[in-house]
Amino acid sequence: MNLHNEMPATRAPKKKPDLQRPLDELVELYATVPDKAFRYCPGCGLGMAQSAIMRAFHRVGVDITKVATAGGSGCYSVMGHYFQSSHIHGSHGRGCAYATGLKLARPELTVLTLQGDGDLLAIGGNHFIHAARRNIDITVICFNNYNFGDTGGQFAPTTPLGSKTDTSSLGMPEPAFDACKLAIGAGAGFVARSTVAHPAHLTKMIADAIEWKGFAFVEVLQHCHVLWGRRNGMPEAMDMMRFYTDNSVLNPSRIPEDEHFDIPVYSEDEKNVKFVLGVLHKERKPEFTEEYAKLRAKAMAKMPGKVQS
Amino acid sequence: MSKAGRSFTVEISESRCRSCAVCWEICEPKVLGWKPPLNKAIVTDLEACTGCRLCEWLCPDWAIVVRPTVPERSEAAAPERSEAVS
Repeated sequence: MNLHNEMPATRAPKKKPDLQRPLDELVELYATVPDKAFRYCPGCGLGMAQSAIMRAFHRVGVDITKVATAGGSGCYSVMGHYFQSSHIHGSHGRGCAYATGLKLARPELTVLTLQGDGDLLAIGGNHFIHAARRNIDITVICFNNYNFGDTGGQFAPTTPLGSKTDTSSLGMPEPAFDACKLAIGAGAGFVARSTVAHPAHLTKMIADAIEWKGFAFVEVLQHCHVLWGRRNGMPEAMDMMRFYTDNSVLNPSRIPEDEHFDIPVYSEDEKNVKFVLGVLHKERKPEFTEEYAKLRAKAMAKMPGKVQS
Repeated sequence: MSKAGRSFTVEISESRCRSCAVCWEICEPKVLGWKPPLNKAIVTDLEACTGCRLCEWLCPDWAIVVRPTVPERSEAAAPERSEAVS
């Protein structure tokens, strides 16, 4: 049996929304913002990523009442409250676990998890790889800022080798985690990477991930100029935005074999950092909620007596 | 007004701006600037705006709204058409 033929290529096409809509009209449709500023530091990339997620909702054309987000602790954790969608603000690192339960109970919802790099890869790594292995139809958005920002800038699994943080003042001795390769290895169907310095590209990647049927993972490289950037010679938000635009390669298919590395390595002599942006992996697999519904129907058919579907 | 004949208005919310300097550094035609005491963003040269919306997309505090204004051409054309009908 070829399972790949049974899967629809994409979800039903919807009418194309107006992508040039002013921000305040989008805010009325999708977000609830406070009167003054957000909780993030001035110039933080989370505000930019939040804007891109809102535009991705508009691009996909989702009904915001049918969207649910989940998250744990971190700088990003207030972001779910700034959308009109429902939000689970749960315990640290368990966003994927909440999302899995929610998606199985209410398969009609569009479920996203908004998680940081420390939350997703350090504390919640186990939940992440098993959600990816199941290929359940959720979208995981990882905000990678290279450190634990909420607790004061300690090194995280994603801190680039050689970079300085509060707890690695002479340079990080450990190689960094590549979240995208981890997701591919764990069995995710859609893996993409983008940065906040490429807002249109980021919006498209998130919109494609929401439309993807199956586990979709988007790594958002989001600057933390206050903690990580300040210690590595980039104290302003724009310095880190230039760092992203200078060191990123947009099309993964055009990169020669020997230059194709995704794990950032940082040193003072040569900023040997290259990010490969774009869709890094696409693979159709049987989706977990549908497979589980089939299994349930099979079990119901075997039951003697009255059966309720 | 830009060369394409379209003009834009840029609205900046002073209460939301936290002077992170992203908008005026990213603005290529230098439409945006800053006001010294608190260094909050202001519009300095609205005529130069090309409507690329990078400031609106990248403002981390959602303080900037860029709106296209109705082109003068259609405003001038509208009464002529109504006269022709009447």
